[in-house]
This record gives sequence, C-alpha cells and structure tokens, in this order.
Amino acid sequence: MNKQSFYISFVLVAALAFFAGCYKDKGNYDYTSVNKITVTDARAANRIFVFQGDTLRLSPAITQTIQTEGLTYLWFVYNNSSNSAYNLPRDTISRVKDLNYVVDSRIFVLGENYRLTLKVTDPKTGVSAFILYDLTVSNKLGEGWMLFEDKGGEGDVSMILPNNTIERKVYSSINPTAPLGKPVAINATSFSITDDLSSPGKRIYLLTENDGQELNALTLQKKFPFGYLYFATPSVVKPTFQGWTAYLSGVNPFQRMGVSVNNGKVHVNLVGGFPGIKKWGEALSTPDGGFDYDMATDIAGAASFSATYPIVMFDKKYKRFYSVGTTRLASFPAAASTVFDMNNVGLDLLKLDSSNVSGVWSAVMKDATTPYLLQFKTLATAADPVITTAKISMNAPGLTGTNVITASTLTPHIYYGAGNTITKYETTSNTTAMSFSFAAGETVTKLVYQKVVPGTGAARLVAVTWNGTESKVYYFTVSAVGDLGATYTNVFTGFSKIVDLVYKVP
Amino acid sequence: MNLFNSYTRIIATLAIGLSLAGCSKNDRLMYEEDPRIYFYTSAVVDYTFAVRPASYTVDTLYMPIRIMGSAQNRDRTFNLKVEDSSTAKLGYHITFAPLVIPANTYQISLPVYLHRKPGLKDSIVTAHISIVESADFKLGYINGVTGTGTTGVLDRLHYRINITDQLTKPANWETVWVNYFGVFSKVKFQFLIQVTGRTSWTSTGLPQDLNFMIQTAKYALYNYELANGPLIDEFGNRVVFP
Repeated sequence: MNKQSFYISFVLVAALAFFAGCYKDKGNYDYTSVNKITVTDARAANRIFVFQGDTLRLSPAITQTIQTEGLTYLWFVYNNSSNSAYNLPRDTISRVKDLNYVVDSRIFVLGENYRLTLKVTDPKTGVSAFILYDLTVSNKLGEGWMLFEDKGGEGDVSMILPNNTIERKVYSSINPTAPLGKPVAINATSFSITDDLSSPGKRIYLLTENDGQELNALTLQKKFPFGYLYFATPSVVKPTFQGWTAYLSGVNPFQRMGVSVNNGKVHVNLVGGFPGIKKWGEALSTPDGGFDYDMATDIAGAASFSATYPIVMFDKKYKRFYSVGTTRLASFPAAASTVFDMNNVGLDLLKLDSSNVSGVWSAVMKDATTPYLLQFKTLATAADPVITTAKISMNAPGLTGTNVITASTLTPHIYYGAGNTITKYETTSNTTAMSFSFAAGETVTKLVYQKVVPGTGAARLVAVTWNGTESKVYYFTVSAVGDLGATYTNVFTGFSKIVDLVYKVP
Repeated sequence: MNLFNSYTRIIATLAIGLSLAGCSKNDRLMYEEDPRIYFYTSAVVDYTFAVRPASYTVDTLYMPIRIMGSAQNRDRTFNLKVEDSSTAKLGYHITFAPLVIPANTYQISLPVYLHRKPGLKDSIVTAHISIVESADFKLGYINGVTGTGTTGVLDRLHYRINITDQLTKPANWETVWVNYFGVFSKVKFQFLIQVTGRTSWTSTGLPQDLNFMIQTAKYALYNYELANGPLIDEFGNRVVFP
C-alpha cells in the first residue's frame, strides 16, 4: 500500500464510522413496571424481647403490585449489640414466610441485642424487599413488679410477672452467697443509663439498713457493692435512695443525673458521652457550705431538659426545698416564691409526687393538725419567675397520720392509705371519697400509681398491705375519672413484709 | 518505504520504551545526612515540690528525645548541657539519667531527676538545658525562635525546667479554677492539694472528676472548720468556696 492508498483507506473508514451514527436504533425503551414487594409488620416498630427456648412467631404482611408465585423468604439474624464485633456471623433461621422459631441459645445469647431481617425476593426479577426487627434476648424476670421483702431482718426480692404469676425468693436463689441486710428501698430505672461502670442499660439498686448494691438488670445477679458506686465510700452508710432522674426526650424518659440519699445527705452522679466512669461523689453542701440537713427521698425531677430547677428535694430538718445541682444545693431566689416560701415551708413532708399537670409537682404536707397540698413547677422564666402555684388546706381525714400516698398523673387525684382503707382525694374540689376498704387489721403500707400498665394502656393502682404476718399485693384498675371500681382485679398473697416495690422494665 | 509499517514500528517502539521506563527502580528518598538529635516537643516545665508530701525528696520528669537518621545496632551517646545562665545547678538541683540512645531505638523519654533542696522553699530555680554535639550526634534542628535558654514553637534544641518548693498560683487559676474555688490564696491552694490529692492543676479533667473534687473540697473544709474553726489564709481572710 502506498501513501495515497493509506490516506484514502483512512478517510473511507472514518466516513463509514460517521454514517454509522445515522442508523436508526430500534431498541425498546418503554418502561415496564416490575413487581414491587412491600413487607410490613407493626411488631417491627418496637424492640422485641425474647426468651431462650421460647418460640418467636412473626407474621409480616406482604403485598405485591403484580401477584407473583414463588416468592422466596430468608430470615437471618446477626448480633447488633453496641459492643459486638463487625465480623460476627450472620445466621439464617428460617426460609418460610411466617417465622415460627424456637430461640436457640447457641445463636441467641442472653442480654445481647440482635437485628433480625426478613428478605423477600421475587424470583422473576430478583428484586427483594426487607423488614427489620430489633430483638433482645431476655429472660422471664425481665419485666414485672419487684417486691423488696423483709424476712425477719433479711431482705429478699419476689416478682409479680406480667402474666400475674409470682416468682419468689428471686434474689436469694440467684445470689445465695450474698445475703441482704434489713431492706430499705429498691429502685429500677425505666431508661438506659450510660455511666461507664458497665455497659449502658437499666440500673437496679437494692438498699439495706447499712449497705446497698447494684443488681445486674438482666440476670439479677449482684453487680457492684455499695462502695464501688461512689468515688469515695461515705463514712456512714445508711442509704435511703439511689436512682436516676430523667427528662422527657419526645415521649420517652432520658437520663439526666443520678441522685442518692445516704445518711440524709444528697450525692449526685453524671451521665454523658465524655469518657471515664461516672460514680456518685461526695455529699452536697448547702448554699452556706454546711451539711446540716436531712433530705427526704422524694424527688421532683423536671420533665423538660431546659427546666430552671431540674431536681428539687426537701430538707426534713429545716422544712424547706432545695434545688439540687452538681456540686451543691441551691436555694430558690426570692422571686420564685409567692404562694409559699420554697426556702422556708415550715411544714412536714408526707409525699412529693408528680401531678396530672406536666411540670407541676404536688407536695402533700402537714402541720400538727392539718394536711396541705403545695404545688410548684420547675420551669421559671425571666418574665414569670414564680414557681409556687398552690397551697391548699386539704379536707382529707386521716391524711396527717400516713405517708402512704401516691398521686395520679392522669386525673386530679391523690390516693392515700389510712389504716385498712384507700381514700381518693380530688385536688380540684378538695374533697375525698372512700375508694376501698380491706379486711380489718389489714393495713395499707404502700400505694403506687402506674400510669400505663404495659400491654393494656390502662392505669393501675397497686396497693400493698400488711396484716402482721403477711403482705398482699392488690391491683386496682383506675378508670378515666380516677375511680378504682368496686373491687380489685387481682390479689397476690403469701409475701413477707414488703417494704418497697418498683416496676422493672426489660 | 512501507509507510504504514513504519508508523506501526515507531508507535510500537515508543510504547514499549515508555512501558519499560516505568520498570526502572526509583531510589528511595532517605535521610542521608549526619545523625542528629533533638527534643521532639519543645517545652517549658514548671515543677513544684509543694504539692508533694515532705517525704518526696526527688521526683522524675521525662524529657522527650528523638533522633534524625536511622537507628543503629549499637548504643550511642548524646550530650546535654545546663547552660551557665541557669540558676539550677547540675548535680544539685537536677541530674540526668545516662545520656544514651539504645541500639535500634529512635526515641526515648530521658529521666531527669529533680532534687528537693531547702533553698527552693523561697525561690524558683531554672535549668536551661541545651542539646550539644557528641561523637554520635550533631544538633537537631531549630526553625523558629533561637537562642540559648529560650524555646520557640520549633526550637527543638532547648528545654527549660523551673523548679520550686513554693506553692505557685496555677497559670489557669484566673481563667479556670476561680470559677470553682474563688479567690486564690496559698493557704486555700495548699488545702485543696491536701484534701483532693491533686498534683496537676493544668486542666480540670473530666466533668465527673471535677465535680467530685469540688464536692470533696467543700466537705473537707466543713469538717476542718468543725474541728478547728475557720481556715484563715495569708491575707487574713477566711477560706471559703463559692
């Protein structure tokens, strides 16, 4: 080929390539809808607690835009705990639509969180849809009322489970080598705590006359001795309260600050994302630097994160309220008090509890003869610095002789036990009505208002009685207007003297 | 001449040449100068024995030393000099551990022993320490403020240690600690050191630790006053915490 022939060939090839672009494309570019699969299940909205050995049944709803036979199903699960490694295996536990699976302890470890996924695939298109479930492996003691009993000076815990069965000697059977002293108080958080003493989670404290401890919220084994919960063990150990306050994040409580009362003095603890373990510190001083006070165990904890006074407590000795800070107790500014003086109440506290108005706290108090209802709020503004809202002389017979009191958070009622009776006091009308009368000699020793009974949505009043030899626990359903009904719905018997109780959530 | 074949040959030759050129081994960029040595952080250290119990007669600081060049398979020595301008005396206020870079080592923390001497109760002595050449190492580098006894951002040849047995006001008292403990006094500071056990006051630490320290100080002062009455500082004022 000579030079001219080469150039001619080159031009011909280029022209051929150029005109090839004019060829009409006869491809099919219409959009064709494929089958779209949707998987839904209301149970996926909340964490599911499963027990080892129990059967997990899930029946998600599956819809298709084009009905197609032969969908394939794949249920697989992996450990999704915060401290789990990224390379943990993924296990397939079923290949059918509806899950009916016996929770295998070889895959599901007690206390761990898992992400369960259902993958639904259309075999014609290969397109898949997914639904995710969050699981936590729990045990049957994960939820229920924990009853702290005094068995001849030694503490033990029984539980009433959501299915109304009783588990007795729960503590002593799990912790046979760590007997408890004389019981004083039990407390359990309903929200997770990040204190870096252990993995984030719920916290349970058992307090006895001269000791205390943290229980593992999952296994109920003794976790930490009392002294370990403090940077420096208090020289006198007489704990009466140990727990955590919370504010509302949306509708859910979220950790704010730990509070304990030991030997009448307040200690506080922090939470947060900063590193290092958080423990309770030294006792808080009064504003003048002193420690001359005797704090009650009731706490008014503000629901709002930005509350002016996040934590308010009452000094029994000098009959006054304090705002609790991280390094000291603080008095209230003069402008905060108009209806009564927060810094000098001059009455004895019977019960400090929440009310049916969010952000308003009810303090049932008394002088020598008369009960009073004092109410205050925890949020003040520059324009409205006053937090005291009411002081009412209560028309409530028998109230001055008891501290068995609980307040409704749904209706304007306060329930109190006096002798063998439960009386309902209405804050708006300043009247009382007898709600229930137990057998003669059966004294009401504890009342707890449960705003929402899990699984039912209804409110419940839990009453504990003591007849000298036996404690009983009664459930009353509380109506929308605060009535208890003609009688209780359940009674649980055969307990030693119950000194305190708390509802444990998983 | 077959032009097409010629072009093909030329292009192929260029391509092969270029590709083979990529196969040539680059010389690695290595430090090829003399071995040198320097402080790998420039620093001025303030040290007081006053926060230590009386039983503390010697304490140890660690000076960070690093070499330039490769490590070698033998121990090498370097030299430090306490400059004449220093008020601290080598062998009396300050001594060094052996000035050796061990074999196969690039950096060390050199122990520097500080000695508690009676004169420190009412004075502050300063050791201006410089790196000087040795048989094994030349000087490292200065690329900033220079001069004997001074340190700058990139001055890696000088180190300064101030030693005293007095309670000196922490440099951050007026910006940090005043918020928690109020007006400074030596009596207050001594009390805080005693009851909290804290010896480093350059930062507050974590919030929970800070809170515990404040709570502890208040409780300790309360107990002190119960036993002894008010604690009075060197200005005649009662020690209080806000």
